[in-house]
Amino acid sequence: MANLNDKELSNLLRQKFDDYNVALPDDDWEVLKKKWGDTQRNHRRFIWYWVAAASMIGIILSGLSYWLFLPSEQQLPSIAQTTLNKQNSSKITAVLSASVVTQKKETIFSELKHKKQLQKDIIHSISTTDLSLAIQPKSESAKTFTNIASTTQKGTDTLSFASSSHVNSPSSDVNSTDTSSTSTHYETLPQPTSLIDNSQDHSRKHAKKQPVGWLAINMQGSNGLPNGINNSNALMEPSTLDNRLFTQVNQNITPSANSSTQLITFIDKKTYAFPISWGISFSFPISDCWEVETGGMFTQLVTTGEVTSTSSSSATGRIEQNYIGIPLNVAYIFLKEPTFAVYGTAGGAVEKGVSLVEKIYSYNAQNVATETDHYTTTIHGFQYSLDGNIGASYRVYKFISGYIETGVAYFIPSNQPESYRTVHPFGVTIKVGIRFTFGKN
Amino acid sequence: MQRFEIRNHLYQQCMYSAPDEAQLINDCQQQVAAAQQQLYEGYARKMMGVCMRYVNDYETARDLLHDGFIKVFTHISSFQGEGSFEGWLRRVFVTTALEYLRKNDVLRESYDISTSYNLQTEEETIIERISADELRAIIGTLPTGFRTVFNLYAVEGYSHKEIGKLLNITESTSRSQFARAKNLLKQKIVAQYG
Repeated sequence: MANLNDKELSNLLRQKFDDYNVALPDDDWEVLKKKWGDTQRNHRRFIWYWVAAASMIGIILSGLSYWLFLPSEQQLPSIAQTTLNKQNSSKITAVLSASVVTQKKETIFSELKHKKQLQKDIIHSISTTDLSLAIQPKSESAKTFTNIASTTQKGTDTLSFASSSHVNSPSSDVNSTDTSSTSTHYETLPQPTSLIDNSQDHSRKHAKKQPVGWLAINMQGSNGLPNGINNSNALMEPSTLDNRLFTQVNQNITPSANSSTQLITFIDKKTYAFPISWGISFSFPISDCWEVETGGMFTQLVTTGEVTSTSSSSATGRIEQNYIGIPLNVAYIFLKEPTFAVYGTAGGAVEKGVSLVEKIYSYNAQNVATETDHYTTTIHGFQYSLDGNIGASYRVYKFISGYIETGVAYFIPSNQPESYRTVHPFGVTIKVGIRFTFGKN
Repeated sequence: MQRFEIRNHLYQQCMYSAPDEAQLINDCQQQVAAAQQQLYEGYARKMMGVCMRYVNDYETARDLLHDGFIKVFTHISSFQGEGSFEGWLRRVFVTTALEYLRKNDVLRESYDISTSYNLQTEEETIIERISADELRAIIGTLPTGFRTVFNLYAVEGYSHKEIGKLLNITESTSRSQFARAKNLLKQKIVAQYG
């Protein structure tokens, strides 16, 4: 019996399978078309997730960069170098320069230590009135020096470096007998505002009010105000979930012999779960009392529906809507103590629905559930909202603070799928979280 | 994008029919739904045959067929007209089937045999006589690893070196699995049709 080598076998098989076909069901194209549609939607959703994640990372990085660079920018210009010409005691030179300060910073510190005693004596001997009189002829520079003098007078605590040590240092050379001289000269280099602002920090207590940023992890709930629609047993409209539940129950009902006379009653119930949002937020201080807050948040809105018939057939459905959003608020701090703050915020949020998942279960007479439908789709458009809150924060440990906010929110009708928000667009919110403070405090 | 949507709509309105394969491919690259349907109708049954040879289960093969077409629709722009389109399609479906088999970890069987088996003319006669469906059914009864190597080597024309890379096995393992597959196939053919 002759052997059939591999090549001959291959040729034989290829010939055999060249036009080999397997029959497919008639609806196969429809099934494939649905799968293809789902794939495209998932792809679009993935892009949305990606854009949202990239945006959040971008915002967070921007915030961190701001915190990393802002404090040094604020501190460096504020360190003023004021030189006093000892030979001509009537001439006072205030030099403001970040670059010079960087080089002189250590020198100033060492001088402070060595001349601490001398400084105290000088400070006590300096008359603020004399200094003010001496600098009256110079408008801008005079104002600067007035602040320096004021700080010098009060800033006996050299440890409060952020606001006063840099002013004390040069003034340690001030001879009190020369300050009343009329031949005073000022030289003010760029960034005088920083000096003025920081010079206004008259005490260590005031130094605590230097703007700082924070990063927070928070959870927010929103309880809708009554608006005429009963939340727990809402009247179902013949649409979306409700319609599908009715259809499902109708399919499950087995017609009985007297079905023509059978009166089937449907009891329907719809519940909107209390919406809860999770998020990360951070603040950009824009002044001593004002902050801009933003970040990212995730919200899941769950709607459940139930339809039961007198024929013991029932179906339940659950819709989960997932939103990601970016809030933007402006905060005004009414009270700012080292460990405690009270503030108010106002702003809004833009949210994008990234997915809507619907699951429908039908129950037979033995109450055994079967999942009869499960699909995922995207949510078009954006949800816009406005909110105003009042809040308080309490520092529990160094840079860690807890905070709580409460207020009102209005979800602007934005053609979004039915949810707690569409039923209760106006609601009371409560937000709790933990803040991690950055920057000099 | 809007232009394509309008075009899609028009095609569906007036019974799309591409004049040639190049036009069909071009329209599929433009994501014209009607062209995708024509492509499916033209190749689905044949590609189902390819899938069936690898998984031997109708519903699983159907899932692979759908996954394969989704890949085709997604990546058809990568087909640059080099070689036959059917060959490109077949590679997509074979790759899809192999991915499924790898994911389900059914390709890790390894047999070390030194004897090479050759089919004989008696079996050749039987193979010529029986239908492709019957032959596919016999191949389908082979262990998954044997079946995969056998299909790739004997039907698709891959070399053992290429199969080794595709399945992440050594070249010698591929050879041994093919030899074992041939031997089993011979026994089954003789037993059923001899």
